[in-house]
Amino acid sequence: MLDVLLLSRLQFTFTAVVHYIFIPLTIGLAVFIAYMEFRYWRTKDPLYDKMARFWTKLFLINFGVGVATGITMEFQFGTNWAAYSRFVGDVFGAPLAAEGVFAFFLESTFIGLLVFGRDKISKGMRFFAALMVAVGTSLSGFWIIAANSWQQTPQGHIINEELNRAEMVNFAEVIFNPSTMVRYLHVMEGAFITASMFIVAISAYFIIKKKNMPLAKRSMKMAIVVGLVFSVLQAFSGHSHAQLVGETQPEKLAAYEAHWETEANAPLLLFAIPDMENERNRFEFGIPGMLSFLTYDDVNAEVTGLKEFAAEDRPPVIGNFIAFRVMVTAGIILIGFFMVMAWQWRKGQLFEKERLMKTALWMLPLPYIANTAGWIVAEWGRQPWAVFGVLRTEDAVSHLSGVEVLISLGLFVAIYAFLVWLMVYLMKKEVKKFDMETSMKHLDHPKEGESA
Amino acid sequence: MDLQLIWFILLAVLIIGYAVLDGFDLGIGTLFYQLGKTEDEKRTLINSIGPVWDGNEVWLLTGGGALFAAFPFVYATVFSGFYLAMMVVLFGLIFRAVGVEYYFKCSDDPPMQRLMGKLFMIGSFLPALLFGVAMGNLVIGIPMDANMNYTATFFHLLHPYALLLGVIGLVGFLLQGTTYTILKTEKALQKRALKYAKLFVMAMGVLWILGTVGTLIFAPHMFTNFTNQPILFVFPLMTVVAIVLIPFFFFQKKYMAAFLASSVIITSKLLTLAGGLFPNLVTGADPATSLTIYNASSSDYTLTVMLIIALIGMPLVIGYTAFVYWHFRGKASHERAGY
Repeated sequence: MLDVLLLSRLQFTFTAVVHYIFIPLTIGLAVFIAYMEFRYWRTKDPLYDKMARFWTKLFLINFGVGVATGITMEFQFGTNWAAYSRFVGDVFGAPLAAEGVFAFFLESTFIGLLVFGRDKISKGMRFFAALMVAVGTSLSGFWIIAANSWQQTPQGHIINEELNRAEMVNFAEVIFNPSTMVRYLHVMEGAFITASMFIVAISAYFIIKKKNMPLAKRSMKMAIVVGLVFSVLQAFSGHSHAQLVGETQPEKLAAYEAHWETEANAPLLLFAIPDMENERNRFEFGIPGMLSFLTYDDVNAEVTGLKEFAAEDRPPVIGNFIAFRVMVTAGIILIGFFMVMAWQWRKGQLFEKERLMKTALWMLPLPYIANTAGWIVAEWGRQPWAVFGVLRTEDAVSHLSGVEVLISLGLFVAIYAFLVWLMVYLMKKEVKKFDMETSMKHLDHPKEGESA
Repeated sequence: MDLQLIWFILLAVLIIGYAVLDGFDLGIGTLFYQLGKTEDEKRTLINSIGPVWDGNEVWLLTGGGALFAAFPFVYATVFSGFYLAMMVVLFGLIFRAVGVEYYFKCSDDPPMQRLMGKLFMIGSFLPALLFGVAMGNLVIGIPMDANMNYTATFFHLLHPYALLLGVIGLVGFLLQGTTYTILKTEKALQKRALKYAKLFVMAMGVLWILGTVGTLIFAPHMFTNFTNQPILFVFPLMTVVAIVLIPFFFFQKKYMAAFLASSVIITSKLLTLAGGLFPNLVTGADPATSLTIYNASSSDYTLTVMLIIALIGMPLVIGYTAFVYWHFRGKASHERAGY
C-alpha cells in the first residue's frame, strides 16, 4: 500500500528544495545587476556595461529554471494538498495572488525589456528595467515568506466551524505575522550571500585562467563587500530568528537542539546522538548554559524541553538537529571566508593568491547547502503541523491514489535532475566561452554580432 | 452586484487574458517546426515571443493564485481531481519555458538545440490541448463526493465532448499563433503562416458548428442561462462574426485586424462558456454537488481585500505590459538578440 501522505511530502520537499536552488541567486544577482546598470548609466564606464551583460547571461540561465520549477509550487497546493487548500485558502491564497499581481508581472515583463531591448533602449531605461526585475524578485520573496510565516506563526484569522476552515479577519496581521520580517530578512540575506559567493567563485575562475581580468576583479571586489556585510548580518538575524522560534514555537527550537528536559542553564550541544524512542540523547557534548544564553540572553534562563509536549506534537529531532548544525556551520565558514578575502584585499594581495582563488571556487556549494538546510529546519521543524497549531500535515493531503503520486514523483525526479544538469551545463559553457574582448568588439558594431 | 460575482468576472478576465496572450505563444510553439523551416525563421519565431511570453504566462499564475484566494474549494477540487492531467500541463509548461529560453543558448550544440526545439513544441502543444479539455469537463460535469473530492479516474476526463473542446481550444491557439506570426514576420515565413491560418479559420468554422451540436447533446444545461437572458447570445454571435471576418482581413492584408479578430474568437468563446456555466464553476455529475461562486468562495472579507489588491495592481500591470508590447511593436528580427 503506497502512502499518499508520505509520497506527497517527499514530492513537496523535493520540488521545493530544487526550486530553491535557483531562487536565492535570482533575488541576489538581480540586485547586483541593477547596481551595475546604475553605475553604467551614471559613469558610462564600458566595463560596467560588460559586467552587467555577462552576469545577466548567467542570471537568465538560472532564471529560466527558476520560472519553470516555480509553476510547480503554485499548482502543488491544489494538486497534492487539497484539504490544506480548502482549509486555509481563505487566508493563504491572498498572499499568493498578491505575489502574482505585484511581483511576477513586474519581474517577467521587465526582464523581457531588459534582455531583448538592451541595445535599443537608453542606459537610464536599462537601469530602470533592471531595477524593476530586482524589485519584482525581492517582492515575490516577500509575499511567499509572508505566506509561509503565517504557517509558522498564524494570526489574523478565525476558525469557521460551520465551513470547517480558517477565515482571514485581518489582512495586515496575516501578512505581518510575528515571524514575517525576521524570516524575510534571513532569506534575503541568504540570497545576497549566495549571489556574492556565486560572483566571487566565477570571478576566481577567470582570475585563475587569467581571462577577463578587469571584469573579474571589479565584480569580485563588489561581491566581497556585499558577501562580508551580509554574512555577518546573517549571524545576527539568524540569532534573533532562533530567539523568536524559542518564543513562538518552543518545540521547534527544542528539536533543533535535541533538548529533552526543561531546565535552567541549558547547554548548547555541539554533538549528540538523539534517541527518539527513549526521549534522551545517547551521547552529548555541549557548552553549559549556552542555549539558555542564546535563547534568553541569560545563562540561568529556563529552556523548554521536548518532553513538555505530547509525543505526537513533537517535530522529528535527528534530522532537524543535524540540518540546523549544517546550516550554522556553513554560515560560520562563509563569514570566515569573506573575512579572509577582505583581509587579503586590504593587503593588496587578493588576486595573487592562487590557492585562495581555488578555494573560492570550491566554496560555491556552501551557500546552497546553507539555504537548503535552512529550509529543511524551517519546514521539518514545523511538523507535525502544516499550519502550526491549527492544521496537521496528515489532515492537509489530497484525496489521491498512491500510484498517481508515485508516477508524478518519479517524473519530477527525472525532469528536475535534467533541469539541474542543464543549468550547470549551460552555465559552464557560458563561462568557459566568455571573452570580454570579443564582446567588446560586438559593442562597437551591435548589428553584426551576437548580443547577450 | 455581490463580491462573488465581481470575482467571477475578474477570474474570467484573468483566464481570457491568459488565453489571448499566452495563446499565441502556445500556438507558435506547437507549430515551431511547421512554421520555422530555416534556422533564421526559427530565430525570428522565438524573437517574436521572447520579450513577452514570460509575462503572458504570469496571467495563468495569477489566475491560479486568484482562484486559490477567491474560490479555494474550486482550486482544491479541480487541481487534485484532475491530478495527472494537471501534471501533464505542468510538465508541458516546464518544457516550454526551458525550450524557449535555452534554444539559442544551445546553438553550438545541434543535438541539444533540437532537443530544446522539441521541448518547446511538446511543451506548447500539451497545455494548448488540455486547456479546452479541462473546460469541457467543467461544463459536462464531473462526479464528486460530499467532500468535494473528484471520484472518477484520469480516463473519465477523456470524454468525447471534453476532447472536442480540447481540439477547439487547440485550433483557437493555433489560429492565434499564426495570425500573430503573420503580424510579426515577413516573406516566406509570413506566407507560410498565412497558409496555415486560412486552414485554421476554416477548421474553426466547422468546429464551431460541431461544438454547438455537441453542447446540445452532452451539455444541454448550458442553454438555460441563454434562454433566460437572450442578451448572452451576443457572445457566440461575436465568435461567428470574427470567424467570418478573418478571411476578409487576410484578403485586405489587414493583419492586425485579423489577429484581433482571432483574439475575439478566444475571448467570446470563453465568455460563452462563462455565460453558460454561471453561477457554477464546476458542474457536478449530480447537480447538488456543483461548486458555485457562492458555495465555493472565500469570505467576504478576503474577497474585499483581494479586490483592493486587484484594483491597485492590475492597472499598473496593464500599463507596463502595454508599454513593453508597444516597445517591441513591428516585425521581429532573425538576429540573435536576447536569450
